[in-house]
Amino acid sequence: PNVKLVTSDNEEFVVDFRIAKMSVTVSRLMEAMNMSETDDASLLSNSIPLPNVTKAVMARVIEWCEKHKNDEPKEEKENDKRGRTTHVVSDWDKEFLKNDEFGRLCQLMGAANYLEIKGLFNDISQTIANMIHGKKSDEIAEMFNIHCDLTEAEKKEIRKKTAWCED
Amino acid sequence: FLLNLAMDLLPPELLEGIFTLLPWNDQLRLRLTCRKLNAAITPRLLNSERCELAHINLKQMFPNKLILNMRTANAKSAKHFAQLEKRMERVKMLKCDNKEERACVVNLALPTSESEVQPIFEEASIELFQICTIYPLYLDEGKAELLTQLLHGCTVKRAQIVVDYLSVAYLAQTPPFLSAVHCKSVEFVIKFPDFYPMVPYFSDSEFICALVAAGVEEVVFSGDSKGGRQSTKDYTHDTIFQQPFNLLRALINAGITTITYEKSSFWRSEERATPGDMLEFFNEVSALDVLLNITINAHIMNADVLIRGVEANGATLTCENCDNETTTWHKTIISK
Repeated sequence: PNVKLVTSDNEEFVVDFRIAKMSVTVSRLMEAMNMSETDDASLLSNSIPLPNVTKAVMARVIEWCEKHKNDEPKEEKENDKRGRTTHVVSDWDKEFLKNDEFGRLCQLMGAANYLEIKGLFNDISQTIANMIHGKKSDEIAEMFNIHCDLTEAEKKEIRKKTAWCED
Repeated sequence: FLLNLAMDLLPPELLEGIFTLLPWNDQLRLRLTCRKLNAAITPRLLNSERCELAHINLKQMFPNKLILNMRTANAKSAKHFAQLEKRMERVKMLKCDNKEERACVVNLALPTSESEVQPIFEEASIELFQICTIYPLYLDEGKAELLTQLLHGCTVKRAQIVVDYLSVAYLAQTPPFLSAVHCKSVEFVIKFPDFYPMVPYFSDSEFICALVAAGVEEVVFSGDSKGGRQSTKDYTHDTIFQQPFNLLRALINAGITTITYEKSSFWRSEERATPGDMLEFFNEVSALDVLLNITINAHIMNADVLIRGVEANGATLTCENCDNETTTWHKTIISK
């Protein structure tokens, strides 16, 4: 069975029921609209409006979901040996996200957050975290379009607060 | 609208997703990019975890000054060191070989009245709280209370307390301190010079009951021989060997079942035990219907006689480096 999803720019996507169910948000909306896998009429007569997702972003979300539709449910976050939270991004996911600039990653992340697709959300969060990793503050600011409004005195004060933790 | 977005303008739920996966040092650097990100990250850093310390070593090198050497195996816990600067006289960071470790030294004027004492941390979990054996703070009049106040809000897994022939008179003040920090394992380091008269203080039934009531489950006796351990008086063989066993009996009877007795605690290095000194004690405890974990390090003459005697009573006696010579180093564990 298929489910119709309608984006903010009125584009209709017809997706497999399993893919639609990967989104907690869509799943809840289907329940609210009494749409069930065994009731084709309910699926055909209804469409799910997704006003916070554009056509371009929805296409990317569906591409990710297609790839992961047969994944076993898993604990998304793991703690490494130092007790740090990490998320393992698969090679396919790295490839999927590698050409996205920060702005596009954020669009996709916003959609994953709205649609409640935890795996995609964590993949993107980890990708951005990896982009930040090991960089100096000015490099981070440049990479992520951040305008630094801190004075040197403020920076000094911030460092002082957690001086004991710094490398 | 997100396409040309700056990171600091991301919605909080997206920022939180990224921060959660960022290593500690990356979060520290990200704070320095702008006010908004600093405001979002700093509370996470300062409030994320309780203080976990591997070790606090307390020295009293000068009459009116305490020196605390603190170490944590978790860099995140070191954020609590920063707060010490507001209250302590001098705080200095130490270099650590391990990248995750952080250490600092804190100087603290020895408080002269209760009102001056401020807790070191709001709360902390301390693996080992150790009083330095070279420059010890002896827990004489009011000092155990001072430690209680300094470590208010902390839990201590293991405490090492140094006792000498003067501070032993204040031993009764130790259990309330151990209780306050929820300490279940305590090591008493016995200092020179004249340690035999100290044994009855430890054997005192009120003291032992107070230890048990404080929640202590493990007691270790060890000695510090630095500077020499000379007894100024001659004591009989009976005093030397029976008093410590009476102490162990009293602890076991009170319900403390994990005890380590180092030969350096109440015996001098030249002391030699005979099988007869120990056999009665071992047979007594073997007959008890409780699981005991007792380790005694001693020089024993004719150890094989002792082993045969204990085994005849169905207890397990393990010996290390047993060579049947007149002087034998023994490690003994009794379990039943």
